[in-house]
Amino acid sequence: MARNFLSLKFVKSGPTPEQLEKFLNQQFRELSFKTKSVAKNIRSAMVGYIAAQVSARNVTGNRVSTGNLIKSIQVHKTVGGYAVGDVQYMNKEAPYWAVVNWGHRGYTIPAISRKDKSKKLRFVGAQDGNLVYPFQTKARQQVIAPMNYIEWAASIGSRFFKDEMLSVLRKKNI
Amino acid sequence: MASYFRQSRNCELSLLEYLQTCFTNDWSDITLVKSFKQVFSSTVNLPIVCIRLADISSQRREIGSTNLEDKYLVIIDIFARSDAQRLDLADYIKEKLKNGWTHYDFSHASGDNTTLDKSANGRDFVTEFISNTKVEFGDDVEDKEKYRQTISIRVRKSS
Repeated sequence: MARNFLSLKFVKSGPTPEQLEKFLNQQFRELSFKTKSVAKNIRSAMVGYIAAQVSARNVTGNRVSTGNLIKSIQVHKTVGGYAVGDVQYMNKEAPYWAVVNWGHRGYTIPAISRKDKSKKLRFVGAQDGNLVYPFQTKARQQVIAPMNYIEWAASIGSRFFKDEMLSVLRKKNI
Repeated sequence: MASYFRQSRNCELSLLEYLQTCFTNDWSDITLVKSFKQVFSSTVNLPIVCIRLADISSQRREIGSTNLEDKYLVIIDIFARSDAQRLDLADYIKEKLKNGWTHYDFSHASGDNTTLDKSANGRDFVTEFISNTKVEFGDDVEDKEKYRQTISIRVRKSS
């Protein structure tokens, strides 16, 4: 008689393989759905954080406006999930997003008229100190303090993610 | 009467104190600052490490308790002389942070805010390494920002 190092035997004490497969598929669908909700929550918290920072800076006299930045932060679908902030889209709509997040020293053009689209780009880099724009405004050098809204959102995002995922995984449907 | 600093300020200063000691022992000529604007001062030379406490999140410590558990978002910006130094400094700092450091309560005598007294009060430790990223703004940047790295961590004081 042959001897085995390891023998396997199915004992019917829990779900059948079919039930388990069904359960896992259902959980996967729920988790995918929750990912979108987590991304939306992170986006809304991030936007709130930026708005709060902007108000705080207005009080101290450094007038800033990040309306375009807030509008440019959107939830979008990626392979296998959702993401907050499409870099390509943000580079087009709010090209200063990185400067606002990480801080920088460079030249900025004060906004005079919001109606004139040619004056939309206010951050002009580090080397354009001598440029005089058509509207006779000289760029001025200043340090833009970092807002770190990405790092902030990443740090609270993990909590949102954990809470949502646990709410699905704690369900006992099997 | 001595003036005692509150916990958030102590947390930021304890990390500064810890890294300053580490840099003094293992590196030379590293300038440690705690404000982003100081980095661009003409009197401060590369390499520079800037440590800032950016945000505090407070949650109830436990059900039925009025105590809060504060977690601090700390941003460490590295402004290096070269790309190699940027990576070395980032790795060095990460290694030094992983085991935590002594939390000090700082105070100064009334009327003298230049000399700080400190007394150890527990430890601070990193609960989360959030990011460790190179920051690039293209070629149009001044020397101080050419080789820049940012590390963000969540820090909590042990109770």
